[in-house]
Amino acid sequence: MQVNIINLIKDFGTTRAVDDISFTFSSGHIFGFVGPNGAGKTTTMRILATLDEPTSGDATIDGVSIVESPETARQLIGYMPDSLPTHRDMSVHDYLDFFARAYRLVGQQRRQVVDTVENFTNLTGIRGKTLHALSKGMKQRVSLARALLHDPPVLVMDEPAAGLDPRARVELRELLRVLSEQGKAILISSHILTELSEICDGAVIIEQGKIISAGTLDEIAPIDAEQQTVLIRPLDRQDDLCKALLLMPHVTAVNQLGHEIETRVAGSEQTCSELLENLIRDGFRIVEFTLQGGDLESVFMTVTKGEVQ
Amino acid sequence: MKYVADVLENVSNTLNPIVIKELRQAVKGRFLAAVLLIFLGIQLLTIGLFLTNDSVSWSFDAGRNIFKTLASMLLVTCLILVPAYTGLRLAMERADGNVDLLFISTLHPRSIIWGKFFAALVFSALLYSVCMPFITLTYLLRGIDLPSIFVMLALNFLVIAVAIQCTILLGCLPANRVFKIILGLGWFLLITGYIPFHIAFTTVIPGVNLLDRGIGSQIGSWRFLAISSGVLIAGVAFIGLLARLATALISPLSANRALPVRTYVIVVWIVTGISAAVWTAVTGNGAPITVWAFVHIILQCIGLFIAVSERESLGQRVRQSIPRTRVLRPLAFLFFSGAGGGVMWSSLMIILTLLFAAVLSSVYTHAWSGNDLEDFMTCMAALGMLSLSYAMVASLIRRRFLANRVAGGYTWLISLVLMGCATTILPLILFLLSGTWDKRWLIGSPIGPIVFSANGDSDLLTESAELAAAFAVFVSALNLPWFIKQIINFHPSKQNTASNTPTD
Repeated sequence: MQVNIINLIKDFGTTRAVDDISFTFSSGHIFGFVGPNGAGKTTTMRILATLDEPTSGDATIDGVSIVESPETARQLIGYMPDSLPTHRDMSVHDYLDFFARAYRLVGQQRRQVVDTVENFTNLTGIRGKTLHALSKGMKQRVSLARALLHDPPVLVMDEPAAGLDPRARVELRELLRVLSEQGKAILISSHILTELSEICDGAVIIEQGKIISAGTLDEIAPIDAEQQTVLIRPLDRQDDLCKALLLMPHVTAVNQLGHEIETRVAGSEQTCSELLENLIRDGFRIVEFTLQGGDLESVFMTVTKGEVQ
Repeated sequence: MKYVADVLENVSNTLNPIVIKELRQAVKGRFLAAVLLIFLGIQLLTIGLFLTNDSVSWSFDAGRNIFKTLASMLLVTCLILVPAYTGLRLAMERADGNVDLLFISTLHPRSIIWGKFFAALVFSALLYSVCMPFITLTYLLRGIDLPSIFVMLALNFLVIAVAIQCTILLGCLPANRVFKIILGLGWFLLITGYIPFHIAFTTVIPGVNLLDRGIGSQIGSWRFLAISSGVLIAGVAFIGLLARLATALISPLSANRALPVRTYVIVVWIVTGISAAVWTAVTGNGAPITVWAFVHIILQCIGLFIAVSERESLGQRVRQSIPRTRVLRPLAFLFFSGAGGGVMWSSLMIILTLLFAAVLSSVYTHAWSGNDLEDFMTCMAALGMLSLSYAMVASLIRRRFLANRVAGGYTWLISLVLMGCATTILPLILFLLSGTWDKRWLIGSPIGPIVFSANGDSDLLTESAELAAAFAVFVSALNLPWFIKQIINFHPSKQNTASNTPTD
């Protein structure tokens, strides 16, 4: 299953929300969709979910066009919007049962699907609770369960981790991993880039409706072989370490960030390794020595300017 | 037992999911239970008070009087509470964006609207069922026959159904919360204002109301059959039209929202036109044709203001469905969403309605007396042309001067303001300048032709129609480039030639 977004353009009056974007993601992969507020992420996702239509361009899911055959495309997509279910007097089970009916699931099959999805998203214990009594994390799970009811091969998730506590985020991450292993193609937008870094195979970075960068994390990370940033956390003697670092060859800048020291090193990964070796030899007790860059957050901060439409 | 379970399972699978959801929520909520209990209590109290009155034992009208009270109470309850409950729920769901989620399921917007409607009808039927034992008692107390009871309850139910569908349409309107509250209050006042008239005409006014002579004695007559079937057809057709409009309102912008509405209106136009013609032929009375033409022309005048507020360029998805053969394309232009096509379609329907009425009048010459028909036709033609003119002027003003301030969807509002000015400010200025009042000053107002026709002022009516024709021709000429542009742009979109090669 391959999803192709092809030269997608969306205008709202004189404003171009999405400006000729093209990218691809496929089964078994989680793709991050990253950009500042107002970059056009939600618009693109709504177009993909057939809720809005593009001004021009198209998106195809295994060849099925969302413009020409939206009804067929809907069967292939599970869409999880950034808004949460708000039916006040409906229980979790009734809500899922209702959407299962809306997807034309009948009889025993419907009951089985709802039970399976409730189990998978860990909602069995709260299936009788009304939606308005749920926490945000629970509501996100209900929203995910709804998107999974018709077993779509493609999942489009708009800010699923927004407002979740750390435990709920970890649980969501695990669910996404399982879904990816089941062969689903997942496009997920999030502001929590560290989360995305851990689960995404690739990412699309978008700003002002245009793609800034797209591809696997290795492909989009701007690797500068001549300049490295290293984060060092010593056990003690932080001031001495700073002084020692400044005297070392290849170290171009040192910056104290609380208990950590951000160090700029002119050279390759080999130079960094030698730096660590020297520090240990000089008797510094190093707890953490991390080479920065290459993660989604730093790529995002490097390539975007934070401009909105 | 298993057979019953299977039947229930099949029913459950076949039912519209919206109906099931609404009923489940209603059963779990406190509102419906509270209404049913209170209603039951009030009915018990009412019938108790009647029965403890001594006059019941000797009065021959006791059953009828109690029935009038109970039926009125039932009507008030169903007409106010059920539409309010349905409309509020729908408006809240629309505001929360929950309806959006339904569009990505296989549920059609049509199913959503009909689901809401049938769920509300079930609530009304529940209230009816609570009332039934007491109404049965009224038959035993003398003064009323069974056909009267059934016909009255059916008529009330039809009115309730129309009110429910109207409320659903209002709930679907794309408006902000404040505007919706104003609309809701206006609708509530309209319903509460209508109820006394309905009760008066059906049960109180001597000589007019349905109960005094008993419907049982009239039920086999042609007149009764014609009127009752006419009311039923009109009611059902109106509910259908409201449902189509509501469906169009909640359908995604990317859909051809005009097609189902216009197809439905054409079918209703033909069916009701033929019915009216047959009725006129059988009774020799031109009233059915007059009513038919009046209703359709008024609907099309409203349609002009809606059409002019539609978008001028079509989206990709709609353009995909434009016929590729040049022969079918002009016809399709009239049935596709879009301002130009909508204005043309409504104008054409007004002309066809007037033509059909004119043809029938030449066949059944004795069905109208004096100049009645001529005045009526002139009045309707003037009204249609004035509506077209104001709609087009509003569109022109918006495009030329307010393009960045007023969205196309609000062109109807500019039309209303213009018509309001022509009806109030212009005559007022002329009055202040001349110092005397002359009804001629209403000549540019849409209510002018109606006033002149009602007063039997044929000369002014003709002048009004001539002015309206000149106005319509002038404004249409000014808008001609706008029409031509839309016609030229009305072609299927080219197949997507974009490269499938991703950038990553």
